[in-house]
Amino acid sequence: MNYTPSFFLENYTDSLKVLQHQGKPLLGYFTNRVPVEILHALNIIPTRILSIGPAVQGASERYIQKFACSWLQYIMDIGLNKGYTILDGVIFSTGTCDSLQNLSDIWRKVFPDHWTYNLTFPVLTDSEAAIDYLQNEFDVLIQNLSQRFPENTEGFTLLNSIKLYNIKRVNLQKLASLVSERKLRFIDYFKLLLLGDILPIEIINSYFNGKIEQIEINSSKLTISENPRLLLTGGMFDNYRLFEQVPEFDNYIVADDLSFGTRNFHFSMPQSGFLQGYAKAYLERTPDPTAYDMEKRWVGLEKALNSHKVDGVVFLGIKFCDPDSFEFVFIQNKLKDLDIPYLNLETSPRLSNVQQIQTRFSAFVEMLH
Amino acid sequence: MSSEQEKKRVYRRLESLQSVKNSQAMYYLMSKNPYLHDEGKKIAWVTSGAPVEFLIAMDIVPLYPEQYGAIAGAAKDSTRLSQVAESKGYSPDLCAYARTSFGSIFSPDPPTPLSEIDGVGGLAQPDMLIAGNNICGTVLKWYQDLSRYFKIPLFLFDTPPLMSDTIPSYYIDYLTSQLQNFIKFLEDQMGRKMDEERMIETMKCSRHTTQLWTQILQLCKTKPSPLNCADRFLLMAPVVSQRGVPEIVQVYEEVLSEIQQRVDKGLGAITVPEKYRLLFDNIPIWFNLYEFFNSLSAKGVVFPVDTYTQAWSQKFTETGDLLHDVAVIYSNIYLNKTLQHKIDLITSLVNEYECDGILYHSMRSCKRYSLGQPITRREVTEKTGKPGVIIEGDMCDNRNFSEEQAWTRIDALLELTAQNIQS
Repeated sequence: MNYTPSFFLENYTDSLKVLQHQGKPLLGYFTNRVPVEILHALNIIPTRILSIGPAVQGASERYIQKFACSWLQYIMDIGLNKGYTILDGVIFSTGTCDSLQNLSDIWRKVFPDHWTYNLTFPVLTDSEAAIDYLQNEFDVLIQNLSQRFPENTEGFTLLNSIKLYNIKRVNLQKLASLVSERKLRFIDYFKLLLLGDILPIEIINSYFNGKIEQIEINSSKLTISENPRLLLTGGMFDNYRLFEQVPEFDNYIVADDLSFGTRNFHFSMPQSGFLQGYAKAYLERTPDPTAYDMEKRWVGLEKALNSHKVDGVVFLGIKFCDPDSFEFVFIQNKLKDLDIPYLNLETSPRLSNVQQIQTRFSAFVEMLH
Repeated sequence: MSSEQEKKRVYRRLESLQSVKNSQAMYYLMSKNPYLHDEGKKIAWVTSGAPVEFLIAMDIVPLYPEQYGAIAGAAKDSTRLSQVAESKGYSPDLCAYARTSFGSIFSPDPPTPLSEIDGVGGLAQPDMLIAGNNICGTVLKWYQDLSRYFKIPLFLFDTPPLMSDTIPSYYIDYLTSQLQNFIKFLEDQMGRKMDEERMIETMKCSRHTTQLWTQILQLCKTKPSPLNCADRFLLMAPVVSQRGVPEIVQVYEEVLSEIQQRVDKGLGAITVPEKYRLLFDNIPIWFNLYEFFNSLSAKGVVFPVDTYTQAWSQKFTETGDLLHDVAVIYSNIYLNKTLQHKIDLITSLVNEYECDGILYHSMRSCKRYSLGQPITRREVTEKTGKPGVIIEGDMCDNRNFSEEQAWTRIDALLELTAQNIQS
């Protein structure tokens, strides 16, 4: 790869144009619940929709009210700036978050020429009926994609794609370990996470292999920080510029539990080509706050707090995100019980309150020293 | 109401409303019966889209935190209760019904709203929780929190959003499988088997209640409309909470009879001439219900139809397979369908009820109902030629309602409507 992660992210929507030259359909997707392996197996390049491109701020207000999830509002602002026109379509995973559900309808109206698909997820995660339902949803998705892109979808084999994405997950887990060991800066790790979601899997696997090797070689020269160790949790936050503008984060964050972070790779899919097992694994994967009972979420989070020897937690919520708002109350109560210090921050992709975040974060870490 | 306000009242009093109020008071009073458990009954807190007939057939009294929110809103106590929830960490951007419900549980002061009705305060403590996500995703998190707080079981009835009018067979299979589990869950909670005959009778009764409700709503196609928005919002309480209870049939028969008489005599809901007929979209502003609609009535504005109360007037599917029918009914909910469906429904209601315009209430704390209204407004106006405006507010939280701003927009709508009618 000739470009740096920063270059790709800084030029996010233009980078999508580079991907288009691969000659395969390029499909954007919302949330980590969309089965990327299926898309890949159908010779489609899946690229996760991010809120980091240039936008016409406020353009979305003509279509969606200001109290919608601020992340989705900004996605619309980017879309209305023609940021996603290069995509051959978008796939929404719906059935859990109200803002996302409604946005999928609004998207169809605002971009009528864009192929838009809804994959509806069951909320129940531990029943045979839910697995059957999801398997059928995947089947219908495959049929629709095969009809939409007939020339690209011959010879569907899921197994190879699962193997490739499992390699990416393992690599991301290694990168997360390097952050925990303070051998990799959080900002660099976060950019790699985003890159891993937008670039084709073959490119990213090769890039990550080289990157991990390079970090391990260079890390021997590093002086390991003794600062308090913080875990960053929250929701659909992807604007890495926050960590550039508040560089102090880098000195303290050693682990994350974000939708674009650990929740996206802290599992592996069963290496078989059977759709039923695949659907089951999708329901059993790392829980997210939209549907899963938070007690289930807490199991993983508590494990992370212990394994990363965390001294405090920063909750980074997205303005007008209902699941985040509910989850914060739960996590706050759990942390209080465990006597673990925490900080609740809320922002939007517009980052209009960076100064306030900076001040509050500084005050929080001062308290920990 | 002060004597001056009374003078300005342009509402025609609906005598049968008292029967509805009585049935509601009795319902809340019975739920506080100290011998309820000894009589083999239990209490469930349920969402408004839950398949309540199963509960009624099993002697489980369903109580609705959403309805409680509406009552607290009307009693102007919801904001106080919401602030109690906010003090525990709940965001003021969350659903006001949920915040009100949490506030009533956490509040150190006794919750007041229901005391005016039954003299006994807040909702009776639940033995179990039933949530259906056919109305929104918020109920999932809300009820999970309630379950943790009360340490009682939660049954979640999952109805993924319907993306087209054709329901796939695997979708029905998913729902019927859950309904089988639901019956098992209720049987476990009650320690006895469900009586199938009674369940069938309860469904019949529920159908009958819904048919009566539909007839009541359809009579509002008449000019002048025999009912206004506020009437329907109050009359709807039993069809939401007690459909399937035999006594409710009689209550609605009485309401229907009075409304039919109004139609026969050419009497409208308001005592001044009906000048403009508008459609109201969304849940009302409970804390300002009568003031709001009465002020509009004084200008000759009547709302013969709204999208909220229509939600309980759906056509029933009858295939003879009970679980299949319940699955179809409870997934075919207005809020569980696409924006296009909403646009088509509002368009047809505007035409059927001969409305001159549309008033959209953009409700800050209900994303599922509100998001997309700017598009709905444009498309419905394109299709019908009738103007529409959006006012910003909330069903319960008066901090999210700017009355002056709302009235500026409503005045603009009335001007446009007048011009439209003249031309």
